[in-house]
Amino acid sequence: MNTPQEVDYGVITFEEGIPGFSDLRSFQLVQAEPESPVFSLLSLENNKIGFWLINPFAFFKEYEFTLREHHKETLQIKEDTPVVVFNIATLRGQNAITVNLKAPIVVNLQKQKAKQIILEDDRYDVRQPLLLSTSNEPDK
Amino acid sequence: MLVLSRKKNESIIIDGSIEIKIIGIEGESVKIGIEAPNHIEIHRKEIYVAIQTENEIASQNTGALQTLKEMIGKPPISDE
Repeated sequence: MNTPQEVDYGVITFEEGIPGFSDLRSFQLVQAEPESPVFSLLSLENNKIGFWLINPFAFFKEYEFTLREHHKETLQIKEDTPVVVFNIATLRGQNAITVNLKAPIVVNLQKQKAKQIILEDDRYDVRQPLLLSTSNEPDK
Repeated sequence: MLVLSRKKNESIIIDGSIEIKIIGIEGESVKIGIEAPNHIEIHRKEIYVAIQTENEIASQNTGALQTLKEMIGKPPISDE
């Protein structure tokens, strides 16, 4: 299944699970290809469950949030910890993708720990449409 | 489900550390104040349920990598 250009980030642990999948802890994080904003997150405990993630900053330049102290403690994030942020993308029908900006996934790359965090910020939506460049617009 | 009757400014205490207080009542709407330790996560239920539902829908997408990669391709970064 792995193709050579994928970048494997190893096994990431969600100690509290993910909302809707509280029993799943271990996921394989893979970048679709180098420099790609697309990643996959596949459950190692249930091979039917997986997510597509995007790097939000590639599409939503203004995206920002503050990580609360207790989330930092849960994820063991300190000043110099390498941290990455992803958002789950949902394919809706043929040509639409929405992104869950309301609940980013924060990963501590050093400890390989992650958590899906629910923001209190009303600016961000669970189903934010991803507007793609029109260069390869499919035929109507 | 435990059902308790409370008036404005009355509280309940859960597990010795979480206090839920009725701040005000206006028609159909009740304003609630919650004091809880930092590690307790508090969310409006409909938002939590929306995220659960969205995760469940998104988790069924795994066959769609090719579609997604083709649709997204390279990020449309237009640096100004």
